[in-house]
Amino acid sequence: MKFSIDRSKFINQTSNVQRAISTKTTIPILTGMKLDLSESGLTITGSNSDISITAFISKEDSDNDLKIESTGSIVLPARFFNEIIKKLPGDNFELEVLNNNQTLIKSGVSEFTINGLDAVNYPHLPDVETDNQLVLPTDVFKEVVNQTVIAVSTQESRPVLTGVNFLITSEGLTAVATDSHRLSQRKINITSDEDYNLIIPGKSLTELVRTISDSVKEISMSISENQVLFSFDNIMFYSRLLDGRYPETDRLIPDESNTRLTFDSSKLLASVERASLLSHESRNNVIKLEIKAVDKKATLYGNSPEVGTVEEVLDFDNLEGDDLEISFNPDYLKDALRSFGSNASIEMSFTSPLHPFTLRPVENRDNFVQLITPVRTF
Amino acid sequence: MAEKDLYDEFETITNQLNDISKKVSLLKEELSKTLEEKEELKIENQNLRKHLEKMGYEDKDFKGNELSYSRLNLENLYRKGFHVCQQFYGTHRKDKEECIFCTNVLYGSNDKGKKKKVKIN
Repeated sequence: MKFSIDRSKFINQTSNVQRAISTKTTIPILTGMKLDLSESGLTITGSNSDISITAFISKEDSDNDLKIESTGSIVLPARFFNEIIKKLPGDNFELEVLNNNQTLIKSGVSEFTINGLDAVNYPHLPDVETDNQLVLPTDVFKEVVNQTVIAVSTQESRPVLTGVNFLITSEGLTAVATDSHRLSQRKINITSDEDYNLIIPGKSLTELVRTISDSVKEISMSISENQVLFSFDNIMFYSRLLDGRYPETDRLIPDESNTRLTFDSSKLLASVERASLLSHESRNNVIKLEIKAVDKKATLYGNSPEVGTVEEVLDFDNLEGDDLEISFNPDYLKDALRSFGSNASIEMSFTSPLHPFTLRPVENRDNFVQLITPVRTF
Repeated sequence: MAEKDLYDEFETITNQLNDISKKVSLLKEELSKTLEEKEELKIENQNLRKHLEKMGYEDKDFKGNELSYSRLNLENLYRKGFHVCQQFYGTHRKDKEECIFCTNVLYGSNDKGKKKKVKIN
């Protein structure tokens, strides 16, 4: 195997693949990066047990300046290999596999020989049928992920809740995540011939969104029994799916309310941030919202026995319904508010101090909802 | 002479400490007894109230008859720090954080007709 290539183009791709490579893996060969050279171009692969990423550098694209002398494949230790390539002096570099998987890297005046591993031992990538692809606009997909992934559980003891549940039917796509304290649900309209119900790990989605560059317009999603494949540009992103049944969340979302409050997301976020300054010091991390419908007044209280108290009258656009006193964890409300973006008009609906309350964007009520469980303080 | 005084002093202090520690353990016993009694009385009180209620007596100050008996039991468990939802039944609630699923089991509507309506929407 021998080739030369444009160094910066190569680095662009390795930095994407690098996301899948972990230094803490139990399988030694997975700390490496696999290079696969065929007649048509170079495929770079990185993988851990959860996600695998491959990037393809085509010979056709003259920008890549890929010159192939002989094909083959090799696995190189990712940490050293990347550092070496980044620090090489020339604009191009040449890579040649010698005997016993020793690899020679030449660029300008510099010459490295590093020990590689036999590519035969590298695990095979999962087989995912690409016949039934769903094509999604990138910006919408990123929005869906960013809005739901905040509610994913970080506790490994509840594996199913560490993922986002994607329900795809002919009516559209519903993404739900919950850590059992709050819930986020987003719907979009797409057309699909087949129904799917899958749970994608939250961590995979976070990495995936980081990998998709802004120039990508559309991504395609292919689903198999235990893997999902996202392909865009010259990149293929595989993720393991979570086993198990996702709890039914439909019935958790209340469809009635007794008190409704409409406000600007940025204004409320600022107020909650102030109120949470003190609540973070106290043991239970709770702030209280008091709504007096007759006086048209909503007040936020935070209090920490050791530090002091805070009281803030909220600036809202509309208030209707019954009086209410409700306490909740301000961090959940902050996460929820950030997911709406700045200066969005939000409706908060309450049923009682014991029932979860919802936040919905006024302009897109049916497609996005955040649910937060109150804290009982009496 | 001084040495003997010192020794005597020690002796008295040791005796005093022993006395105090005895008193403390007595107090501790007393406290746990009282606590136990309190809990017993609480349960008895609850039972009596339920009895009264059955016989038709209504106490306006006494809340809690909004939930059915079985749900009250579950609520009791939940308040003591255990999950009562299908997903995590019986596991300990970490830091007593509220759980969306449990809340639904306890206070959610069990009206089946309504559930269907939601699905149609």
